Amino acid sequence: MFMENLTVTAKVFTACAACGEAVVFESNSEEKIICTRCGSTVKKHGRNSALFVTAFSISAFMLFVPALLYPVLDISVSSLSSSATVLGSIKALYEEGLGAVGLLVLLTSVIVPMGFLLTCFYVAVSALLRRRLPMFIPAMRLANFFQEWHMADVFLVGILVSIVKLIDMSELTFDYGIYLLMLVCTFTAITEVYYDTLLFRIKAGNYD
Amino acid sequence: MTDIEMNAALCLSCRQLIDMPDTDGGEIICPVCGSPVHQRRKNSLQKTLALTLTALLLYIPANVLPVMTIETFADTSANTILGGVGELFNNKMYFIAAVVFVASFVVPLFKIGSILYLLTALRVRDKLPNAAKTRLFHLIELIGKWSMLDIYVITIMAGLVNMGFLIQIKGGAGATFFAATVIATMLASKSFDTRLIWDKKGEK
Repeated sequence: MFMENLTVTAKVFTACAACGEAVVFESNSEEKIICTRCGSTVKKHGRNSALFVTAFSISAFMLFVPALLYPVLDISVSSLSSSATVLGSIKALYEEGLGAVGLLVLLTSVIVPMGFLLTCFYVAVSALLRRRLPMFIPAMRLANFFQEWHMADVFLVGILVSIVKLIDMSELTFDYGIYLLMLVCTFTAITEVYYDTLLFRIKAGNYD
Repeated sequence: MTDIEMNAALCLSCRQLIDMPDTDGGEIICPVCGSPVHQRRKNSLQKTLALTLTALLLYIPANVLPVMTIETFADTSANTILGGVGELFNNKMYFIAAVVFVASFVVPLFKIGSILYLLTALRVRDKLPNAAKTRLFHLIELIGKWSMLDIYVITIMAGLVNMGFLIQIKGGAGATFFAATVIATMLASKSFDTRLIWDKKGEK
């Protein structure tokens, strides 16, 4: 009788966001939960995930700053040479009258990814400490929004494609920026694999 | 058992399942995170259809207008998206040509087609099981952002190749339309509520 009382844990009531099937599980569950009706993931695997997200999101965020400032590529055509940074390329688009595209690139490849990493870090720290830090809910909602719009990885592949396009008319060399950007994208991908709104909200607890 | 059968609603912000109050009408606010909650996304089908048609219309100028011009001391050449793919193909860079062709031509069309299919399948009976439709939707959400690839290629080339009279690469008006197409398809897939597929009566 007493043992039963000791092992009772709070239940979490949720539903599959893709099909609406109701799902109930225990709040301390660390297993991955898959919807039995449509096969979509309801909750990701929980062991160590807060720790991984904390570590990789802050590392990626710190590497992002030099990745933006260092040139990613150097080019030389006959005697002239030039180099491109991420921010410099966006400025070039703006100066050519493509301000709207420049703004979109700035948002999707710089501001949103950095915001995603920062809000992920905050939510993951809350989950690690098992309490809700101030502004936990706004941070979580921002992270959800940013997760849908970050495209730094597409930008990296874009750089690689432009190398191939330019290689026969000029001499191209990689610069520090591209290596930093590769690390940023790898760490962001790891962050995204482990980040789960529902899981981290449960871990952070229900109250401030 | 679904949320509707339980008379409950899922908060999409924090994924808490909330009991619907008996009084109908009026907004429900999630007690956990304070977001407004609806059982299904509001006006999901209308928004999705409007944005998909917008994307389809924007796709025409995006492919007709040049996305990039290359100015050298000798001449000026303007490239459309498919023209750029053709040039890569002629230079025997088949793999990269395929990557760019898939990312900037096939993916947007595939997305627009899939969303239109999912919308019609809500009205017309078809053979594809619901689980397969849900997987199709997860797929178009996953590949959606990769259509932006060409925009980033233009950004880097415009920023890098800027050597005065010798050679200069500039973005073109098609780039704006192409970026708008991609954003419209992404917004369309985000306003589509896949739960409507499963709500259809008489199907398992």
